[in-house]
Amino acid sequence: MADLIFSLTTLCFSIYLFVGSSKLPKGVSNIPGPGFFPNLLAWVILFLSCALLLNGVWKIIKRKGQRIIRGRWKRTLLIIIGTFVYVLLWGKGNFFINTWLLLLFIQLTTKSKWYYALIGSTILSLSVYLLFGKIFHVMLF
Amino acid sequence: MQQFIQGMSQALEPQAILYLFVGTVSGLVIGTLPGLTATMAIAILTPLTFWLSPNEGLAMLVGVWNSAIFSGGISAILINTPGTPASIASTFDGYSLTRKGLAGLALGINVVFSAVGGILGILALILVGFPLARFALSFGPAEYFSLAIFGLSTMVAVSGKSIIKGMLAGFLGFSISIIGLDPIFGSERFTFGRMELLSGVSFIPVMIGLFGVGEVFYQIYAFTHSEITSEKTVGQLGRVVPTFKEIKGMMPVSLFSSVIGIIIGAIPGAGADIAGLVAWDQSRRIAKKPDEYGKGSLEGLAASTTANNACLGGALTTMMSLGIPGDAVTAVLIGAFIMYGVQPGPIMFRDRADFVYMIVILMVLANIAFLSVGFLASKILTKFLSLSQSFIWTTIIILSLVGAYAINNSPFDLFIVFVAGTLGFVLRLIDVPLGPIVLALILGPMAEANMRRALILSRGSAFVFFTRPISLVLLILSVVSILGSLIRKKKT
Repeated sequence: MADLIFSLTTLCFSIYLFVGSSKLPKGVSNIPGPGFFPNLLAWVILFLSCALLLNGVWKIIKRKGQRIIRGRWKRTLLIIIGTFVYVLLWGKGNFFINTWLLLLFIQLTTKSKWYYALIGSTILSLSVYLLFGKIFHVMLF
Repeated sequence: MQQFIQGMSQALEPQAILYLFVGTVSGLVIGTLPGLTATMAIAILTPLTFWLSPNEGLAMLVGVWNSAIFSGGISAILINTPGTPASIASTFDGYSLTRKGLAGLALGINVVFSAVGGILGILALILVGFPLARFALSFGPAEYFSLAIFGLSTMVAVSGKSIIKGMLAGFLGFSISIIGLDPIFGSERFTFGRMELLSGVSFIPVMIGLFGVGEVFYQIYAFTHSEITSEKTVGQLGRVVPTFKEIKGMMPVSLFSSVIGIIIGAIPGAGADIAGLVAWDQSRRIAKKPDEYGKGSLEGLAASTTANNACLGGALTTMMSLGIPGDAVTAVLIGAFIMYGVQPGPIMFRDRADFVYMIVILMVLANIAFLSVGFLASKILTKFLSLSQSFIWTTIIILSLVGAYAINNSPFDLFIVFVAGTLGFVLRLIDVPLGPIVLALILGPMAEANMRRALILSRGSAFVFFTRPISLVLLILSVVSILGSLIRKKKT
């Protein structure tokens, strides 16, 4: 199943590369233009994606399909969303508070004890603020 | 001679020594903690060195690299979990020694033979690096293109279970590298109208994302408490320093393994993990007691620890003389070199020989540094194994995000880290190797520009890649490495 998902994604990507490179000049006969290399890449990715797709289908028929490792979807997704929100809010609000909230959220989501999470997030946020903001003089917000 | 003295004086500056020591200590901690790799350590710490001068920054990174590879063996020996992939082979005999009550001795062997391997690896860099770079100076565009393809093909050949996935990962990396201005005509390509993308996708945020944030997302997904806590009991260590007789007895195996480590390190794509495994397996041939391998053999442990550190010298030789990363760590290190305004490759040996000597001396000092603190550190670092996983994850995530932003004060880089991190997580989940992506991202501009230059010089004839002998040899080697890997996988 994993091969099938990956090959279909790269197949779509190769089509995108074809479209994108077709808008760029290909160059004249002896001088390859800016669209030459992306176009070449699109062909190679298309060929490899088809090969992987066939391989994936064959594995499913033979019931040898590779399973995706079982894990904790919910907490991973929550942390990815939390990180995305942190990136989106970069420059808005207060650096220390935003960072502290993200770290506390990650620690609580990964089942850390609440008092450890509280102390850990505070120490870490403070350390990062001092290291980057005060020692390296990075323009934090 | 003047350049050697200049390089030595840069490496021996008190601040550089201080940062080398800081790097060594950081590497010791990071390498000991299972799940944190040397690649991740260098990717996360590179932004922190941005404020330092090149000799100080590189001293820190070299310290991290050497000590992280060495200290990966500590958790491999004590809890049967390699701190870094480079120490997989050290679990075979290291953990058996721990179960026999010889944990201290195993840790001592890890210290001594990691340093032996590291120093022999640097000797290889001195002996081979300069002639190789002189030879590479005769390369034209066709050879450089073929070299990039060779580098990528060897990495694809050794990474992951599926060659097709590895190749696709490599070509996806090439696709990311085409974003920005075209190297010949300067036209805009795939920039989506973003000013930030005109100079291309900066690969330091990509690497931080793939190897830092992505790895943490994956661990959060796959981690179960029972995996780590089950074998975390470390008893009494006992004697740590091996006797002279023991060291002498292990020397033949160690020298043999260091040669294997150097050769494997020099092959683009093959890293310290493969070096350790191959050396452990092959050194049985000359071992005094081959039957004890896997059951707590001192020779077996010496073989794996020597090879994984000797590999560093080999990888550095290829990276510095040809500009092709020997493994994922050197791919990240190239990023750091470029950040300091130095492009690894044959021209660096010609124009900046002082810089090459500086790296060589820093590598020697890094080995001396972990050799001098290794015995004591091996005892202290066992305490770090009880550090909360959740705390480690949050530390990596925040250092990755703020560190990537801090390089250019660019929120866009932060966004790249997030996207690369999520991509890295998804790709790891479906077993797509990340190494070829990074390698292709670095080699992409070199491959494209030289391919097009070669075609322009040959008036559009693609035969130029097959009629020049070096280029042809490199392309044949690329095909052989892929086919060889396919045949090997078919057999197993």
